[in-house]
Amino acid sequence: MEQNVLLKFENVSKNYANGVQALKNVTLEIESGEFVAIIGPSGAGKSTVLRCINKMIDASEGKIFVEGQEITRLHGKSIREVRRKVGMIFQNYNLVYRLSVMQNVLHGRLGYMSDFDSIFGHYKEEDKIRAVELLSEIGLHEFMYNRAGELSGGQKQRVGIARAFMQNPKILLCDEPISSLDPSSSKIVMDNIYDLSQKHHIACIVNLHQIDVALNYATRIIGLCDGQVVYDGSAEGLSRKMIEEIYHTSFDNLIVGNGEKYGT
Amino acid sequence: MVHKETTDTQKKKTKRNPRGSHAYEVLLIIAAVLFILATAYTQYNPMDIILQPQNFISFITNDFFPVDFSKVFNNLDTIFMTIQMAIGAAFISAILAFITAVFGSRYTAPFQPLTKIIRGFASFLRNIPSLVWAFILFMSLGVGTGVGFVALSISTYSFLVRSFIETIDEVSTDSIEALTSCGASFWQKIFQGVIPSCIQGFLSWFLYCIEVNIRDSTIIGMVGGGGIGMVLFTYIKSFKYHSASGIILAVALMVIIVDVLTNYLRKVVETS
Repeated sequence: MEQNVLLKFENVSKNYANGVQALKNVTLEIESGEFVAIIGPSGAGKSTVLRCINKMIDASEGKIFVEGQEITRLHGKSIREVRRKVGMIFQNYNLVYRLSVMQNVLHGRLGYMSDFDSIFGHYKEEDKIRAVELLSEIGLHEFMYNRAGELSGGQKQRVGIARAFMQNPKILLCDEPISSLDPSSSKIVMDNIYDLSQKHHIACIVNLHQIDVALNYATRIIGLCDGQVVYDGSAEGLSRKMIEEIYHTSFDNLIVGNGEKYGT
Repeated sequence: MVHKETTDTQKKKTKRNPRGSHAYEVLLIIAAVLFILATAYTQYNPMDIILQPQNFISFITNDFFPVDFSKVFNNLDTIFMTIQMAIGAAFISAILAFITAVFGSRYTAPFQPLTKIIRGFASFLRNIPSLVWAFILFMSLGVGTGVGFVALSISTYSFLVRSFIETIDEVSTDSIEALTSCGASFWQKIFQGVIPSCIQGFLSWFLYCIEVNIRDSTIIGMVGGGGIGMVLFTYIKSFKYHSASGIILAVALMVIIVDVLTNYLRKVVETS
């Protein structure tokens, strides 16, 4: 089983310069093919966990292993090599809106390219073919020459998904992917993320505010509260009491979808 | 959680309102008092120009009229020289300012300490007006169009560095974060993220700088930078007021034409 461990947190802590301790002694292991949902109130450290994995934020203490490689001490070029193995999807889509959909998807290959080629946009033929395939898979191939800024929110997020999968990632990080979307786009986006990550057998970690969505998709749920892991287990095992502990409030104060589903 | 957030925002709103209205009243009173004090101290009477306009009006009617346009056509080349100085300085400064701004924005800079140094350097240059730069450079390097060009470029450069940094910070923060997470290098982020998303803003600032530079280059010309300003100053100093008034009107026309043109181009850029 040890070989399957894709991602490992060992006693990771993060202290921000303003004195906020975002993570306290977090220890985690995630295997390939897992679909993990991280839930917890705002400021619990969900985004910090994700951003520590691709070194957008440096952990203050502890060790993080990606595919067995310790990444907290890496510098320069080796950081880029870690980052291209880790795809990321953002709440605000974070596309370059003045470029075409196709160009945005191809950005997923930048980590593999030389500066010279990418400055002039000389992407490899096979990369372009792969980008078109991915766009057809998520149903956006007819928009490939449109400007990314012209698309609707849900479509923008799907372009973000295609860009992340262009990287051929081992791990996919999703930072509140559906928080700015309407219910129907949310469903399409979550289905896209789930189907693609299962098909390519990659580990997926999703930050979510919607507990019912987390329960629908996730194979495993991690509850974060004040920078500490307070729940780590299956979706079925997440009880009302547990949810109350994660969110520090009574169950009646929460909008969690169909309340009947949760055990007491 | 939801309850908490709404009460927080309510608190902020009720706090802000009463303070704002008082601040304006106090500022108005302070400004009025300062105006009265300054007028008394300098013995300047703002009514002078209305109560005793004879000197002013006679100067305009006798010395400036009739306007002599003949000298304008003799000096068309210097008008073009002034326009060229303005556009050239804006162009060179825009290129240099872009390179500087990329290192000065905290989202793109490879070394964070550099951003503070660049911002400080640019604001130092910016706080010295272009006319002062012109005098400094004329004193050290002598007068001439080239030196005037450099003076104009310094002030344009410092202005554009600030504007470009702000454009980058504002427009491309999110997309740069995404490109970084893809493993993009510094130059990849610049060419695939910053330039495509900011080029519109950059062009708009560049055109604005041409507008400002047209006026500045006329003034810098007057103190030794050549061009139409120099010609105007020569006519004024030699009391050829009829020719000078013709030149002044020509300068106004030039500024208006350039303004209309750059405004049109900015609209084209902004709607594209």
